[in-house]
Amino acid sequence: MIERVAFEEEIIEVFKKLPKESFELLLRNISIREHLENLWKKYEITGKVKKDEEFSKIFDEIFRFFFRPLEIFLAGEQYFKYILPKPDVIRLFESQRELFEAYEDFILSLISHMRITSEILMGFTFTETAKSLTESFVKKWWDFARRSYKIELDSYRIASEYPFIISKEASNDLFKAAEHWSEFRDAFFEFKEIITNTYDQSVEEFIDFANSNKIESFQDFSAKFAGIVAKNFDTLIKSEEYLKAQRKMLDNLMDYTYHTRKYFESILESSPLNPFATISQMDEAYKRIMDLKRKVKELEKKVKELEGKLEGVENVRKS
Amino acid sequence: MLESLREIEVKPWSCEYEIVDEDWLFKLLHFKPKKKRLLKTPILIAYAYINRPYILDLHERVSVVRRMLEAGLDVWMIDWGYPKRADRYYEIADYVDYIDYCVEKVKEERKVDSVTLHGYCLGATLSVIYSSLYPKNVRNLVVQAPPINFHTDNTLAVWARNVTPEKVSRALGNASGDFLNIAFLLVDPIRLTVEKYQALLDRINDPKFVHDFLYMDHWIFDSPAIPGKVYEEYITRWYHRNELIRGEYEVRGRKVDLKNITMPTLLLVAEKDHITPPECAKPFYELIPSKDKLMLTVNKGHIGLTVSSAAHKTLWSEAIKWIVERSK
Repeated sequence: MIERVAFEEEIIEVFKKLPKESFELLLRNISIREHLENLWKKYEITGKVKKDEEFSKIFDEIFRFFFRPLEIFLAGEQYFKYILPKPDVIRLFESQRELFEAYEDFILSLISHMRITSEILMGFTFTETAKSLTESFVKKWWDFARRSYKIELDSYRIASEYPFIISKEASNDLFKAAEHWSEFRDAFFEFKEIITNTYDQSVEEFIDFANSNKIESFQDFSAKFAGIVAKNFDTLIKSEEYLKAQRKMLDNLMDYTYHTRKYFESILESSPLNPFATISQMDEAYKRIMDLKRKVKELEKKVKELEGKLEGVENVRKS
Repeated sequence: MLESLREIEVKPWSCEYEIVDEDWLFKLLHFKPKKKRLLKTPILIAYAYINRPYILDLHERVSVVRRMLEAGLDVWMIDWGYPKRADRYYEIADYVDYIDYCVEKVKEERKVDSVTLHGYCLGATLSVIYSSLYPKNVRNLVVQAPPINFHTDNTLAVWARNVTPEKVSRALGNASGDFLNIAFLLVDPIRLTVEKYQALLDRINDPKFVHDFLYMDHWIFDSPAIPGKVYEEYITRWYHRNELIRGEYEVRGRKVDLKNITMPTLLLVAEKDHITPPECAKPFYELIPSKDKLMLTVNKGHIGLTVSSAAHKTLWSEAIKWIVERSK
């Protein structure tokens, strides 16, 4: 227990020192080593190695680093769930609307009831002047409240009219984003499968080797395993199948990212209430600034050349 | 177990320098000389726009800059900085223009007609382009692991030919550091994410090994983004079309002709380089008409060429001697 606490404290200090990638890879390799040691212990006793869950755990430690960023994008589906009001949500809004309308009727009846009650009460207690002022204030206040309340109620209709609210451009970007996201998801699973298959094949190869040869030390055991996997991956990553899957995955991931951003930008750009500049608008400004910078540089160079020429002429004149 | 990792403070840039010029993103650095009498021809180092230039001055034991200073060279270096979204419209021509600006600045400061231009990796590609456009400004050209011929069979080149760069820059603005890190690791996933770290665990109690490992990893993951337009141009025109070696590459309407490389040229090649294998550089070496050219090789990788003790013992001694002889 004490050792564990000390290790955890130590690891935080190491985290502060290392790049985050090095730190993660180091932790993953400590785990990989533990799994390899477990396999080695069994091998040392029996002289055999079996395909068991230790190999799956090693796979997970190696490839989490690469799969995670892609899985973050896969989780982008959540965006769509929030962006697009789903039919059941719209139905919920509509039934809420009915409920609110019923409630509105109830409130209006209550207002009438209160108005009548207050008129009766005022008739007994207030002077004529006070009565008319109070009466007029109460009336105006309730009219205002009712008007505001009505606006609030109408906003529920907006959700069901979503396709008419956003621009055509935004709609198209949304459809394209969804399309590329779906293509990306398929390509990602294809990519993952290719990698898993190559790893499984390497494990089989390693097991064959270990079971038909005598490996003398843990270092050799570990090095042989890594060597076989590395060799098979050398072949894999240059294969047509892999290149095709990787390209499909990357292209669709980039297109999904671009169209999702464009969708948000279209919404923001079409709203006069939006106080923010979008990335595309900023990019346009950066581009213009860069072009101007180049022009200034060119002019500076020309001025310097002219100054040099003038100096030459001046020197000739003096001499 | 991890105590040794905690004890090391990674502080690259072992030599003192001052910033002589700043142009938004780019900087020109000048290293404080270590000798009173400097050699006549200054050396300007242009590193790649991927990763950081301090690999040439990573730490005292493997600092190429330090060796140059100790040999009496007047060392200047371009730092391409950390591009942000606002820099996405930089073009390769802007990088070449800044090399020109720096060369003129150094010439003016030191009252010389030309400099030694030393390019590393993509910085070597830029240096070759510059030398072909402004040959009179370059007294000696030193190119280290230069990608000039891009149609090679290494995984990185094969992948680059299978990338649609416009999609990346359109979506991300720039090719971000995280994006590049994953790509560079995925090129050799098992060796770079398993074997390398298992070796660290094997030698966790060897302070020198741990020290060098941490410095290297710090540098590897200190990855600036590549401006979107530069990324598009570099992947399309170099990796897809191989314009440079074919003599089809142009900068602001001026053709880059490798036949203009007539100045003394030193080529430094790593035999085990998986990023720019020797085939990237050898056709360039054969093509250039320079009569004073030399190729030095070492049996190391792309970075081992700079930071391995083997390279320092053999290749760098000879390389610096070559530069010194031509800088008097």
